[in-house]
Amino acid sequence: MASSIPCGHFALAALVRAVPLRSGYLPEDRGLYADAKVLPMIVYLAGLRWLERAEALRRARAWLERFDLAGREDDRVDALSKGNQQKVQLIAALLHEPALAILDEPFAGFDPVNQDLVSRLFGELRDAGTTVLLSAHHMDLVEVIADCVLLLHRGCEVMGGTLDAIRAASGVTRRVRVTLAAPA
Amino acid sequence: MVGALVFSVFAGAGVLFTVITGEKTQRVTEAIVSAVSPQAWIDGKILGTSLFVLAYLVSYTIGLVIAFLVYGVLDGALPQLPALVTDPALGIVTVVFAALGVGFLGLIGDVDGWLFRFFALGIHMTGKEPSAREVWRWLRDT
Repeated sequence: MASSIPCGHFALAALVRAVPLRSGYLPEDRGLYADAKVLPMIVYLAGLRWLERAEALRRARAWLERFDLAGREDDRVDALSKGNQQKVQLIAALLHEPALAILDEPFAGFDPVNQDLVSRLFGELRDAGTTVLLSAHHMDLVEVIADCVLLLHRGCEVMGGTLDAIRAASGVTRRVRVTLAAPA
Repeated sequence: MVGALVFSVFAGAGVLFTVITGEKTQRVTEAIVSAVSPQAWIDGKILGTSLFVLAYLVSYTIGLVIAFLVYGVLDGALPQLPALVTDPALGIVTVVFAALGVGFLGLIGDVDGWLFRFFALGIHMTGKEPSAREVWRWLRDT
């Protein structure tokens, strides 16, 4: 099926809404009410995608546990650090188990430990059959998790395809491996 | 009575704009319109704001009645309560007008055609403020 992505200044929101129950969306920066509490905020956003309340609560608790946020359910969103807010946002985007997840800068605000946690999560999602479309500046992370990469400059494709194809196209074929020996 | 209506409409419009601009800059709108249509979004905003202002008016009226009663007790004699509070007919008229007001606001939200397309376009834009030129281009395109 052919489809087109509206371009220009359009937020991806319009695209995602075409299939609201099967897709999840993570906006860049915050997309949460700053004065709302963590758990009700997640359950509310899940409700917009017709997830039952009891099920949403159950899943949200499990996700919060996984992201080290257990015990913060009743905290206000703006009381959380930037990284933790990003976690809540990510949970809200994925709670209804979308088939397509569109994530705008999902690594923003995370320290290396959590970046690793999140990139492993994306790997799991992919293995479970979820299509994850994400934008990122962290090329090292992208290299590890992405099946397909699209490099853009001012909205136009510079290079695209699998990582191997990009390597081949860019002419960079030499690989340097550095091994550090333990001091004697 | 009329004063209360005018007050609630203006206060409601003020609240509505504050809520919308606040939500837009926080980019919550983006997260929400990825799940519901702009029409549902604005309907919810208008309904919520109307109920909020209604609740505000009710609590304000209750406060007023209590103030009158306290004043009456302190003064030794109950003063004349305003007709709005004592006359059931006026109370009914108030409720009917409030309901009509909500319905009218709903009609505004139901605007169809180019105006709505213009609104939907604005809702889908990201948080940054558009320049005059951009607004002109949207108007032309819709």
